[in-house]
Formats: sequence, C-alpha cells, structure tokens
Amino acid sequence: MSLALSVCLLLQGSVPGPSNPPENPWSAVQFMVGEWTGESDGQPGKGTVKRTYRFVLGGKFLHEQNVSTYPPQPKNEKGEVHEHWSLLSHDRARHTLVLRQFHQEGFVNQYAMTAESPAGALVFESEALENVHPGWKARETYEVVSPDEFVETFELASGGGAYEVYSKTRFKRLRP
Amino acid sequence: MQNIWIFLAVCAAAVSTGSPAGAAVPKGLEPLRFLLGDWQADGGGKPGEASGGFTFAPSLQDRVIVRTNYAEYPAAGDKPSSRHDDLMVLYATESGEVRADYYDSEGHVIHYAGSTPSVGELTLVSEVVRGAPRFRLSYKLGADGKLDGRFEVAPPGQPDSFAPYLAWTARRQNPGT
Repeated sequence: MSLALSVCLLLQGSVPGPSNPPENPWSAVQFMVGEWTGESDGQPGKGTVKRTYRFVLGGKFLHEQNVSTYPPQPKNEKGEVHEHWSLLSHDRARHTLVLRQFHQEGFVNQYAMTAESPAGALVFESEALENVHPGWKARETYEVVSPDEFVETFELASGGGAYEVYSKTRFKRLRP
Repeated sequence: MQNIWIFLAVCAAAVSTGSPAGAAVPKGLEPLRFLLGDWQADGGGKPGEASGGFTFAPSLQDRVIVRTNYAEYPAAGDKPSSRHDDLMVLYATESGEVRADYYDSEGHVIHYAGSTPSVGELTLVSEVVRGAPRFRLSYKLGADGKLDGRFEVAPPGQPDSFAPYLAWTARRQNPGT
C-alpha cells in the first residue's frame, strides 16, 4: 500500500502553505521517548511500573508498552500484573494527537489530546471506551516535572459524575 | 469508587470465559487461531510485485493478537526499492465480535470490524468514512496449508465497490504458540 493510497488519505488532511510552516506534531510528547520506571498509588494499591515509549513504523507512531506490578496488599489482596499497550497517532484532520490503549483486561480506550491542557501538562480525554459499560469516561493527564520526570494521573467518571482519581504514577527516566 | 477498574475487568472477563482449556486467545479470537505463527509471502498488485513476511502472535497476556508485517518492493523502472511495515492489533468486543486496528509506515490508521465466514477465513472491513476510501482485508487458509490474502479498496462514496489492490500467498514458517 503506497503512493496511490497515500494520496487518497493525504487529501483528507490539510497541507500547510509556505507562510504556515508545519509544526512538529510530536513536540509535546517527544520527551516521553525512552525507558521509565514508576511508582504508582491509587485504587489498585501501591505498585511499580515499567514503561517504554518508542517511535515505530518509520516514526509515524509513538508506541507505549506498560507493565504495572501490584504485590498483594490490603487494597489488592491477590496482587496483579497489569499490562497495556498504546499507540499515539497524529490525526491530521483534527490537528491533534490520538491515544489508543489496549489493555489486557480487554478494554480498548481512545483519547484525544485536548487543546485546553494547562501549562506543563498534557490532557487526553476519552472519546470511546470499548468493552466498558456505557456511561463511563476516562482522562489521562501527564504533568511534566522535568525532562526526566513526569506524573501520570488516570481518572474515571461514570454517569455524568465528576472524575475520580484511579491511580497516580510518578515516572523517572531510566534511559533515553 | 473502590477498585472500579478491577470491577470493570471482572465484567469483561465474565463475557470472555468459555475458551477451551489451554487456549492462548480469548473466545472472540479463537476462530483466528489458524493465523498464528510466522509466514513468508509473495504477491503483488497496484504497488508492484513484492515479497515479505508477517507474524500473528498473542500478546497482552493473550488478550489480543498482534500482526507485524513487512513487504519489500524491488526497484522497477524509475521507482526505487521500498519497504512497507505495519502493525495490526486484533481484539474482541464484549459480544465476541472481532475488531482490528491497523497502523503502517505511511501513517495510515484503519479501524476494521471482522467476521469469520467459515473455518480458516477472516474478513476485515473498515468503517465507512464520508469522503474516504473503504478497505477490506481477507485471509483464507487453503487445504494445502497456504494462506491466501487480499487487500481491496472501495473509492469514496462507493463503500461496497471493492476492487483488488494487493494479493499474496503465504507459507507458514513456524507455528504459533
């Protein structure tokens, strides 16, 4: 699948003119590339997290791989190892980044980065949650503490209610 | 909202039980077991003749099947050689329907809904998007163990007028887990 199809799809997006030089759509998340270790706290209890972000498929997508380990504890008596993947893509038509997560529990969550993110933070609001009961929504917020540290807050809301924090994870860079 | 994510996980698990003992894929993906493994392929179509390979493997604690695929196009005429890579994640909905998300090295993202018309067959059809082409990706396992695949495209505004774009035949190199 190459030129002909690429042209078909390219026509859906806009082409910046010479007076409007294209911005790097990945600049906001470029810092994520690398290997990270995190400490998480929240409704599943306290856990440790290993995460990598790397560009794949010729740099067209940013791929996240995550393993969170929760040892047995009062909030999570059996403990658990949670894994998820995600792919970040640049939606040219909407001029935004789209985050699509695939969880081992079967959830497939799609988020779009909001334009109203506060300074120093990236906010992704859910657009669709598959294999989750209707009425739920989710939000991922990444607060950039330094080039080598960020905090991820994962929130859920149901039935039109307010978001509640499900987990908060502080990441520190292991390797670029 | 005590452990709501675990609650949601239990809800999801409740609809995906019933797989045979030892199954490495959830119920909704069981009909796709024939695809697991490493495959080498030859084929061609509108972009030219190509060779390549792909792997279907369970991932995320056997919750999804991931296909990684590449195709190499030799130089032809004025066209230099080129390589295409893609990644596709196949998963099942709560009701057992197959879905797939496709990402490739040209930046395309395609969301497919799947069906298994008969044993050893998978057909993935993309959603209808106004003003955009629609895609159909099909696999059929032959009695000789070869896997035939084809990729078809329908022009914008004619979502059911699929025309061939690529076709290939693949031979299994290693069985899946």
